[in-house]
Amino acid sequence: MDKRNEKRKTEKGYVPIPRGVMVVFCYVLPALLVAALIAAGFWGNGNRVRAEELRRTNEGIYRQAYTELADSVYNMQIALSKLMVSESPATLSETLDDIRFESGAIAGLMGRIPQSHADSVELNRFLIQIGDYAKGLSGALRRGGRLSEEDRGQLMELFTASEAVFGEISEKLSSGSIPLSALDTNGFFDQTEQQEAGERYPAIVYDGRYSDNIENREPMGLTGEDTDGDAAHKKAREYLEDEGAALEYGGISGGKIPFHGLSGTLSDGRRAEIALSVNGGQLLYLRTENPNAQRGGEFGEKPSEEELSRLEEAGKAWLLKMGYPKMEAIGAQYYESGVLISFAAVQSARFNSSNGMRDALISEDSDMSEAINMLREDKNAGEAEETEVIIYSDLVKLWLDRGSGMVIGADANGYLHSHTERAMPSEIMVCERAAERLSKNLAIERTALALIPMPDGSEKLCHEFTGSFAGERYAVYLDAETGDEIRISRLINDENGTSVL
Amino acid sequence: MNRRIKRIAFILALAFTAAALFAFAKAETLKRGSRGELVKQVQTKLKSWGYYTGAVDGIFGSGTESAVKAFQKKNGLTVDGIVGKKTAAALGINIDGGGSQSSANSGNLYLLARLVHGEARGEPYRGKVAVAAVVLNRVKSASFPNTVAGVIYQSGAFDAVSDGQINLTPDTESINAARDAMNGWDPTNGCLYYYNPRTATSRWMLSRPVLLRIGDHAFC
Repeated sequence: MDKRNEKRKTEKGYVPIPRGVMVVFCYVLPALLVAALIAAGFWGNGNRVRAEELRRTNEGIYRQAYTELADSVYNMQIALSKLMVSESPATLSETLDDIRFESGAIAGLMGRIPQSHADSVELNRFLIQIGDYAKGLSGALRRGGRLSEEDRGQLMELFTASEAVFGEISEKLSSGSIPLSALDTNGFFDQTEQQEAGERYPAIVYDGRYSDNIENREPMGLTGEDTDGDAAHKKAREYLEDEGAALEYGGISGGKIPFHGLSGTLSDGRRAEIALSVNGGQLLYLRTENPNAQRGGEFGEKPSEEELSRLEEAGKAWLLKMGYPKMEAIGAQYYESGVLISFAAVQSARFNSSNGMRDALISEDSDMSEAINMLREDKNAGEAEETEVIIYSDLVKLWLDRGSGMVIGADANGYLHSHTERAMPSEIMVCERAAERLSKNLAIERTALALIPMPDGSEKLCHEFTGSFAGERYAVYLDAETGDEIRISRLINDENGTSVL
Repeated sequence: MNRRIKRIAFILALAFTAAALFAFAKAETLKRGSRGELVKQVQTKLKSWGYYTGAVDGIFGSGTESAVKAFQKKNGLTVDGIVGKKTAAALGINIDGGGSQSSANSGNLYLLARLVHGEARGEPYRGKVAVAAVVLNRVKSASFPNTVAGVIYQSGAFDAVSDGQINLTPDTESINAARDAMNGWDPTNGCLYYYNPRTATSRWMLSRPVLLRIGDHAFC
């Protein structure tokens, strides 16, 4: 063989391929290629199977959400139908509570389906408002009210509309025409179609947290004439307490309170941004920032009582200077180099104090002699005395620098939306009498009179009892006229500041 | 000959095992050659955000390295193809403990701060607060889900969710902006939407009247 190769090399001029190499090229490499091909096939198939599993899992999750959504809309529709034939306040209230709970479930499910918010915004609103409306009606029934003819007519309308919504969802579910991929989210509720067809869901007329009239309520704190850019410049310098501030006018922006926007640099080098309402030139917000300030850490150290008190006084003094006569600090949040303190307006009012004689007289288990004594006491309760009421809606928030005590930011949005002189009831239950209705578990530390915002947009004058139970602090609000328990808030005071739950 | 091959194979196996154990025990960086569950997590994240097209096999190869580099480039990180603490945090992976982010960071404030960072980290501070305020305005509106998470993760609502930038670690400014918004500051004056006019394509969104502009965002 070797001799033959030698001969071929000599005769034909090339080197013969060794046998080992031939084996590698002819057998090993093809075998490896085939093996690689088979492995690639298995690998690809594995990936396909995994992708298919993922797709099916996703589909399952989305299909579950759609099915539960259909169930909840159906349950809501059934509950609405029961209202049509119910007269008992207790049954009506229970059924309305069912509607409210279904609405809550729907709110969660609407966020879980792969549906563009642009397509579902109106349906979301309609279904949430039904729950909100039901909550208001149920509360009114529990307090002894009755359903009006308008309410019954509106509930009938809602029943009809929810029937149509359920029909649409269940039809799409049964026909399988629902988007099951997060990337294919258009068209299930088809907002575009809806807009072209005009209003699809009936408007619900009621007062509640999510009602149209609460969301579109006009601000009440705006007073005065409309201001122009020059007036805005002047007012901005007053709020920034810097006549030499180099501010640039940014024009008028829209929104619930149209405002002039200005920004620039203060005489001391700080950057400043300020927004002033077009109507009246009142402060909406301001913010100043030292460009050389060192920032660091998410939260600052908790200030001592003395430091907080000093900052509160500095904030009050600034507010007084800026035309907010009576403000009371109601809470604080701690930042890395500053403190945010919330101030609520305080309004003076005169009340005739009552010991709650009417309640005692109508109470079945009250002792007549006790009631008579109370009548006497009540008669002698005397003249109206001036008391200060905290108005929790009229908020101004101030950011103060912990080092200098300077106001470095302010937000008066809440104040501008709600501030006005409130009409107060002439007679209220004395605090001590109201306190008898409190839970015996609450160790009272402080009392005050407060006007608190209610979900329907109204306000309620309350006795505020701040106290503790089992190491936690609470604020309990009792209706100042009737003594009814209106709200309970849990007060958290931790290293980040105070918060209310 | 046979014994020699066996010896070499044994040494190689030992070396490989030691390297794998070392890589797993150290777990401070993941780079080319790394293997294991953490690499799988990195690959899964990169794949779901479109940076990686290869297999989720737990092997940090050239494909994974390229994907990591692309991710780092897009997210303003040092482009070295190595998953260190910063890149891992941006990916939402804890490479020290091998688990996910701590539950302490999972509250509404941190979620909101992550959205702000993902959506508006190049914006002025007021623009960051404004983005957070839009989320909170939606929570208060009947037209949207009634939780912060529900609003943020609603389908197609925010680009930062779909491109994964919501998983970047928020900076102090984003956290403060989220806090300011949660404490009531609303520079948008009640707006429910915003978009970048240079990149927005939705006709529905573009048809809405713009109420104010902050930085690159139009609010409506």
